[in-house]
Amino acid sequence: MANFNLRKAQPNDVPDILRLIKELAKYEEMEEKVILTEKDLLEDGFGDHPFYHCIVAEVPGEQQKREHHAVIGFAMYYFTYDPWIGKLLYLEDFFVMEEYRGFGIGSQILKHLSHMAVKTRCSSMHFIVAESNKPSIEFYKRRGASDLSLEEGWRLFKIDKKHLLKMSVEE
Amino acid sequence: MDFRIRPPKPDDFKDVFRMVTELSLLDKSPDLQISREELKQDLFCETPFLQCLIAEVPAHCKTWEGHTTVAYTLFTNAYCTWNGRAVYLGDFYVMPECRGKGVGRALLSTVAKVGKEQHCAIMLTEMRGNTPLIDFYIAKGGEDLTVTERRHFLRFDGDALDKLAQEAPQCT
Repeated sequence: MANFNLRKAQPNDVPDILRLIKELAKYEEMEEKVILTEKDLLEDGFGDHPFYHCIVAEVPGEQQKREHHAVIGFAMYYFTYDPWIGKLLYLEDFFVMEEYRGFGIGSQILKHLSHMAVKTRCSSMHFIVAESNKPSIEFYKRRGASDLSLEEGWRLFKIDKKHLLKMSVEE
Repeated sequence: MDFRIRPPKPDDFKDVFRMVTELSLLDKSPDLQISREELKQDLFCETPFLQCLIAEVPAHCKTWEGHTTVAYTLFTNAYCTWNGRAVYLGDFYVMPECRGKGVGRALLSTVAKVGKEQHCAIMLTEMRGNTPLIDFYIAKGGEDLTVTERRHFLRFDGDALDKLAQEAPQCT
């Protein structure tokens, strides 16, 4: 398989994006945690103030496999900031459907994201990977990524809605 | 202690930068990679790259060195494909002599309030070391995903990022 196209996601890609988000969550055995809907994705990515950006990988008709999906991979990212180093690109999700792996699609997506990061004056690209996802960790490390959790002891923390609401009304 | 939490104005930048520097010295961070002017511009441009809140005390409560701006936090919007809109908490700092007086709690609560106004479902942050700040977040309901979900934080920067970028294809 040779032909694929990387492009910026459009509003009509939202059903495919949600499908791929769920496939990735299933791969990480966390499928039940996805509570996002197509409506959320549409408002949050394609409204006046996008919370995320997305690129998709699609294949032409004759190369579509399972259920004739044209969109077979995606990457979702946004920009954060560290006052010491400036803008950062934060890669939230990155996934290629299993039957399309091994053709360099993931590699091209990552390169495109890096190019985007440099073009938008980001000094770094950050992302989170499940420790159990050894193929992905190796994929990134082969391309020069540092595992800051292992090397520098960085940990990711989350505060959920229940606690956020509680804090937001505290005096 | 009497204090007020508010967004900074351009005149407040010298205090924000002072505290960014104080925090980086405490954290033993490497040298600043962006200029002071770039940070000021990114904070106060028409569509800022980040949000900031500061804590200000009245003049009669000023610090030993005479400062009335005693704490700050920096945060951005983020997105989680499981929950949706999120707040990404970056720097969070209260001057040591002003700790234990509710300033940190008020600062974090105000970020949570801003997040609520923006319909954010969660707040994320990255920390390292076994600091009192980690204990503070955990007391407020923070979950260490590196422990509970075994999630690792990876980074491409400097040469690794440049090298990868140079190999990028055209995207239509």
